[in-house]
Amino acid sequence: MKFLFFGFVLLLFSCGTKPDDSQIKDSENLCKYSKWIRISETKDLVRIEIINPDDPSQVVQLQLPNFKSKKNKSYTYDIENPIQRMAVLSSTHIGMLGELNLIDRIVAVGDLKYVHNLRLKNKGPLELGEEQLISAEKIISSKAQVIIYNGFSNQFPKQELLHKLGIQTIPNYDWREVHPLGRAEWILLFGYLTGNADGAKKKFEEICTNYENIKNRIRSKKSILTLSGNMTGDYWYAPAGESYHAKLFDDAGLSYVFSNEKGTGSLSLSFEKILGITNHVDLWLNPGFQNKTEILKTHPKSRLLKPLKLSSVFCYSHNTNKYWELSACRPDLILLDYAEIKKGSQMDPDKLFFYQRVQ
Amino acid sequence: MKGIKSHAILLFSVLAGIFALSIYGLLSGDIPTEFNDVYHALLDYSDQDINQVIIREIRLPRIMMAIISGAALSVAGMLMQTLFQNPLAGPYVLGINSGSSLMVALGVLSGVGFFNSELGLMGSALLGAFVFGLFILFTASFLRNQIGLLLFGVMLGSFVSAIITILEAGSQAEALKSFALWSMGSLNNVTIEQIPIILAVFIVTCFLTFFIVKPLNILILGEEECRLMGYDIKKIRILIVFITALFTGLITAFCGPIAFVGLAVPNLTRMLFKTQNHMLLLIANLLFGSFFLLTCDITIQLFSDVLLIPINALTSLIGAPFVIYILIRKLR
Repeated sequence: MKFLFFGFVLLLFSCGTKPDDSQIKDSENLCKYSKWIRISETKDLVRIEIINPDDPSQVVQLQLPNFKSKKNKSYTYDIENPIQRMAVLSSTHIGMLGELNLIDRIVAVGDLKYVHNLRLKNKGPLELGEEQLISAEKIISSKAQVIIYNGFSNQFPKQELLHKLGIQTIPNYDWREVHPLGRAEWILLFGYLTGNADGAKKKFEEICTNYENIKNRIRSKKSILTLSGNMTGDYWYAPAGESYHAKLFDDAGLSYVFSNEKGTGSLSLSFEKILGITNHVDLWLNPGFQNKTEILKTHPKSRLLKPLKLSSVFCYSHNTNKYWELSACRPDLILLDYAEIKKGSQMDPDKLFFYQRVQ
Repeated sequence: MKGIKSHAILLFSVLAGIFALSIYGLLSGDIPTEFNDVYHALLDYSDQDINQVIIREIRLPRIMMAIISGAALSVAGMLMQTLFQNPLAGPYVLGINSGSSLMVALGVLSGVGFFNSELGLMGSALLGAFVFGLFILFTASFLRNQIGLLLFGVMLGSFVSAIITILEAGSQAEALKSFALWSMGSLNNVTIEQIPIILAVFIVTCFLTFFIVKPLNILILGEEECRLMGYDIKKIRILIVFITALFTGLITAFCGPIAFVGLAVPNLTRMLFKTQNHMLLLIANLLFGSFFLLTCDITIQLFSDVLLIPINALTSLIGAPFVIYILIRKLR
């Protein structure tokens, strides 16, 4: 079945005149940090390759003209012109388009309830619902030219039908990136699709520079032993030592308690272990709830954790929509928050962008 | 006489097993502790010593909750089986748990403060269990077939889960998260401060059960005999439903739904003791239920490094095949 799907994807995105492959191969992959997207550019052609993290042999290839130069008629493109109407199913996609000032290109979203961008909210795009339960009729009625989805499962529902109708379905695996800048790098996808590649490159460069500057400024400063995660059911789930969050903590110079644990996913630990390990922890990040009452109601024994006693708990959940929308493309702002939190009693709460002290 | 002696030996063995498992449970875990830590945690507590904190705040409430929950759910199952004269009856299978779950869902997902409090949660669970118990009792008068009653319970459970799904769809993220975590079922969420309240309700309900042992024994003989002995059958039935609701609601409120204990353990005790004497069955269910859930809990702790098993999953893994076995025996 996987081979059939792979064959279908190749057939769909690679049909037509073959481009000059040697030219593409020689050109550089423009993505420096991302593991799951590759972008190569020549004078006439842009090739975007999106790799499925669960099965790297599955690659979605997109060929589009280099919109900076005239269209070369010897090529067949999957997308002929810059996309004007997009359906996006994740908050991070909205954030990236927002950073490029292209909110007006969004015609449909998953659920308006989770939208932070006021301009988009006021515009009132069509709501498509959950990715797996999505109605093809709604997508068609939105007149979207492409739909960007999360790729939680291998195939987008009704993908074949949508392709027949000329609606491209493009997976976005930004959420599977481990490097914070790799996650932000997906902004380039939106830039190339919409004919704003230069703007996207500039924005990404700006984010990278900010990120590196903040990192260099704060990484060496006094470290704070940090705990992350929360109890879900009987176990405490925390980011593993090689995960996206662990990388952020490391770049912020926070001493993460599980930094030596292998893996890019999450660790599951008993509360007893957490209590034993974290006796000296000073900071608890991302507890999953916006106030102490909720934390204690869901797991009353959390009161035994030292950071909760010291009120040294911070979470982005006071405005979850803002965090989910902007954090992927602005890891520099997360680092800025951590830099402020590291100041301890000297911290200025008004300077926090995503985070807030859990009260 | 020989029977009484063997019963007594069996019951004392289980009691000793509970004691041994409890000590083992207090001593073992992810953080190494010694008997000295247990002694201090129980009798000379200092919250500055992390080992004592772990024993007193984490292990002790969990072990006590396993003992109380196992006992309460097993006795509730025994009462249901006697009331409906049906070995397949139990608070989970008949949908009494579903009543508690529905009321807790209404309370938690509605976001009304009172229902989110400890008292509100307990009250909701008790009320849900009692109302559903009465509803099942009423419906059972139309269902002569034992399998039919089981199917009715399954349908009731499906109906309630559909309502809960609709409620979840319209609820706030925080409330949804709280309810989802509660519905997973866990012995870990009870705190040491809550144990006295739970223990008090449990002991009072146990006393109530001891008071109805005689009518329960007569109920086995049939309604006519019960009436001839001067008992008000209607009142007794409602009292049984009330006691079951107290047991089930109490445990469901604090630990979430725990499946199959109330069905498997009463059947096991009837098989082992081969008696209809409810005094003996009551004691047996109290002890075997505690032993069963405590064993499940210790097993989970032992394998926690390799595999994460929620308590509800383990009790279902053991309980469901047992129900199938009973079903096959009945259908034969």
